Amino acid sequence: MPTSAMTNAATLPADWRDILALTKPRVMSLVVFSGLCGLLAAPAMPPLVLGFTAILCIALGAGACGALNQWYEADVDAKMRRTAKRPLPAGRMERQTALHFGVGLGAFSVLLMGLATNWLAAGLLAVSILFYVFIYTIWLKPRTAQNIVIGGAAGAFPPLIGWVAATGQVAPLPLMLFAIIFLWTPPHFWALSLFVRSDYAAAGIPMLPVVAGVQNTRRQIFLYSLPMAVAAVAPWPLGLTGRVYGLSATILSLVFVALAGRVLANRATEPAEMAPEKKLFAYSVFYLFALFTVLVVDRWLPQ
Amino acid sequence: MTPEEDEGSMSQGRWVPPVYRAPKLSDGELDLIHKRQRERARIMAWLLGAFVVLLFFITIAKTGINW
Repeated sequence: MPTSAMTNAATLPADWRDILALTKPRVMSLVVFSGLCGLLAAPAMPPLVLGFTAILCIALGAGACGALNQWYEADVDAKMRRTAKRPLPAGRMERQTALHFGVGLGAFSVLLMGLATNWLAAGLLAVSILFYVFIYTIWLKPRTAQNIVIGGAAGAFPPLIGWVAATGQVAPLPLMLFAIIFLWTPPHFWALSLFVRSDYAAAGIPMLPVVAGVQNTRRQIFLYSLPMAVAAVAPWPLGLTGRVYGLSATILSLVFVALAGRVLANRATEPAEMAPEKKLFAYSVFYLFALFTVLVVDRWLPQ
Repeated sequence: MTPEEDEGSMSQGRWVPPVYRAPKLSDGELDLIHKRQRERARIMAWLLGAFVVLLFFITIAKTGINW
């Protein structure tokens, strides 16, 4: 008794552009940049091809995280305007494809990192992938408003991995870089979640503005920006960087805190009136790029 | 394009398992499948080629051979 033939876009072989989209290339760019800065800030430079391979592995690891995140959150993504057009919620790809691609890419990136650089860097890369998938995506994100606070550690690994790939050991400066990104993540994501909170509410994700309210989130953004600024400037007085980095980090961080202060003062509840939040979100991306660029410039300037 | 499938049947007292038949595809669908397979195969070939070259240079760098 033959059943009617079902033709379904999801059962076609996935288009390569959709497979590429699984890796979240835009998120990957910030990860690659911070990893590259960690590598370039290290006191010892590996051969060019090994440095390139280390950054490639960080990028592939980030791509694996993106694919596994989209595999797990396909149902949630379908409920949010911002993510509904991704390959899985849009029905352009089978879920299993994303899972296989993510696991394969993650395993490949760790193995290649270990073979090309050292196994400590490979171990850190593996930990960061597993932390992002199991601790952040699967455990924390759907359960607690503190998801970003703890989950931010996953995004803080790349400069540490870059440094360890170059030197083979952990040192105080890459740990400071880890701390900077860790403390930068909450204000960065909460600024975004303020003006897309209806999306998160519709998807049932307990982001801070959904659970604790808009004003409470603004207060938390400001409070987190203070230790973040201290951590950003700290490498200078600790003697880990030079004056160029110290002065730049101070100015950049003061502007960040000032923008966070404007967010704190805002009383709007409609996304259309959240200009300070949008400005802080945009600046936070620039801030991290600028801070890490200055770090590398400071390292390579003749003393 | 799921394969068409029957539910099996009984014949002369014996169970005849389901017969899988290739799905009926239109020319447009076949073209699309072949196009995607071609594109993916081409990209895979380039990536594998690049990987071989990368492994070669990694080996050179790890063994410390100077050109």
